[in-house]
Amino acid sequence: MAPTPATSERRARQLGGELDDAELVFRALEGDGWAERVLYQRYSPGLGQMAARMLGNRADAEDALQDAWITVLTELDKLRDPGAFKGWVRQITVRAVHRRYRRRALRRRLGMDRGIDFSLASTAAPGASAEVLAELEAVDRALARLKLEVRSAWMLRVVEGYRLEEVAVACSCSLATAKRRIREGRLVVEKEMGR
Amino acid sequence: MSEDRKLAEHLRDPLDEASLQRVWTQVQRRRAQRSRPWLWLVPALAVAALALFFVLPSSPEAPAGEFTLHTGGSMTLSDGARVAVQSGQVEIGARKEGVRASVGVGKARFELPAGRAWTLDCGQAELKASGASFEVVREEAGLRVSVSAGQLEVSGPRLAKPVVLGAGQGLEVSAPEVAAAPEVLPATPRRDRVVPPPAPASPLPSAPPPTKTAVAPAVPLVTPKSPRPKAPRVRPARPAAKPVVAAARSKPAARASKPEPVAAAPKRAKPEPVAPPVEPEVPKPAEEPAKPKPKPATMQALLARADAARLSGRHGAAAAALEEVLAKHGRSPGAALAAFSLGRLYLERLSRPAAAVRAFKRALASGAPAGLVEDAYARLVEANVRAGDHVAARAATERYRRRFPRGRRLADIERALSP
Repeated sequence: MAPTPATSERRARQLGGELDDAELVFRALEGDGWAERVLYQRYSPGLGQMAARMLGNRADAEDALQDAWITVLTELDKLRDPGAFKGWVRQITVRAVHRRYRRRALRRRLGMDRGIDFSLASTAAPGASAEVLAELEAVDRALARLKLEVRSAWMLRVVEGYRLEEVAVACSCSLATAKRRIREGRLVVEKEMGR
Repeated sequence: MSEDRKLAEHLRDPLDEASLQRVWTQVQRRRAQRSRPWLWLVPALAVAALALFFVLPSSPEAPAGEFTLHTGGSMTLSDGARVAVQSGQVEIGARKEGVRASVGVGKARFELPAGRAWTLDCGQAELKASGASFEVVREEAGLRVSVSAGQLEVSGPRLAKPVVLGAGQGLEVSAPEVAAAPEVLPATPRRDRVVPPPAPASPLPSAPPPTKTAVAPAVPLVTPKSPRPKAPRVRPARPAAKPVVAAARSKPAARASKPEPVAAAPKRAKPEPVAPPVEPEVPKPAEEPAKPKPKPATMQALLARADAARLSGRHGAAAAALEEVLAKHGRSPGAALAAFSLGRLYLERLSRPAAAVRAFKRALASGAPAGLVEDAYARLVEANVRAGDHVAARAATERYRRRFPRGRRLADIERALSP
């Protein structure tokens, strides 16, 4: 009997947890669709939320995530070290987010933009304190004033909790540049918060 | 706000599971389109075909063109043929003399008017129909066909003779390595289906002679001397519970679509526990020329078969399928990957290092993708060592070192070379 989609999903999750990225990449390179799916299930939730928060728009985030995974799966054979898949896929996603962000800026200039449909403050967890809400609103105001690269680096570090080295890889820049961008972002945010 | 604290912990996830699933579906769809860069021709051909159809309304020629339908897609040709794909993919090549279609893993429904002949390549079997409605469910483990109207001829390497299914009948063909023998199952009973007349009580040899098209094998195909041979059997939609009622209800329709009582139907209708073995009914070799020559499997089908076998732990069957890929499609771009996979199977699962050496050499010679080259070299060394050819292993190591001076598999290679 052929497995149902739900069974396949469960199996993918169970078996996927046992395999490391490199093994899954090898399998995907051999044409194993299941391995591709496991890689997607492993990384798309985090990357999708990251893209959505950076873009502030769910539709744009879905498009960016889609572009990123098309690139990932079609250029998988160019990945030199399959063990470095995590950093590579993050880097590709950040680039896709940047492309989508710039495209939206152009649409906005042409008056064709659908607008930001949520801010960080609007996605605050139900139990968030008033202090956190105030901070998030200040962050939203500050982010609107930041350059794209600075905004990305700061968000990856502070919002998503990436390590500095991971921020540098994801933003395709040196560690020093990543630190400088994060510092620049922090100054603007703190100024907005009145610190 | 501390940088050590992840701000996202205070936020709800903006994207839900459905969004992520939607993205994955779109990714798959776009990849399928990218893998066929000529696909932009399809709408152009479709438009051209439609234009011809409307410009020359009196033309008796049926529409021609190449079409690909994906999950959820459906299409109606101007001759009334309708194809609806519930899941998977169907590629259709329409010509005025006939239509050839390739049915991928998934589920599709065909409603074909009489006139043009349709030939469907379903991997495990080939279907031929003209003037029939039927559903095809292709899975890695096999193929299921159920006919709701008209007649459908099923042939393939797993069937000794082509089987003609009538309305209300179904067939299941297992993939070669999945089951010991093909199995024919009854179609799901449906009230609106044409049900063949009740099965005669006589055993197979004395069944009424089928028409020249309605020939079903009544003999075991794979293991004729087995105590319980699994011969392909065509069964009526409802075994023996209400055959008379079913036949009476659908008699006109049954007559219209000529659902001949196929030879094997009685076996299902009358499951005699003491039925004699069917060995005497083995057809004489002289009758065998009727067996259709199996068509060569496509590379995609072979790779799918290999994947299915590998993932279910049948490594020997997977290796055989990959060998077939290399033998039949050795010059295609995917051959290097197939060779690499084959090498891994031989080396890691089947303990055949000499065969693994050949496979890895072939993968490297066929232009393995950049991401696999280093691994292929490393495994070639390991395979040579395990095959006892230390000279070749050292030579392969040298090649690896020249190409990857700081290779990440260097330690593995040295470990393999150490006594």
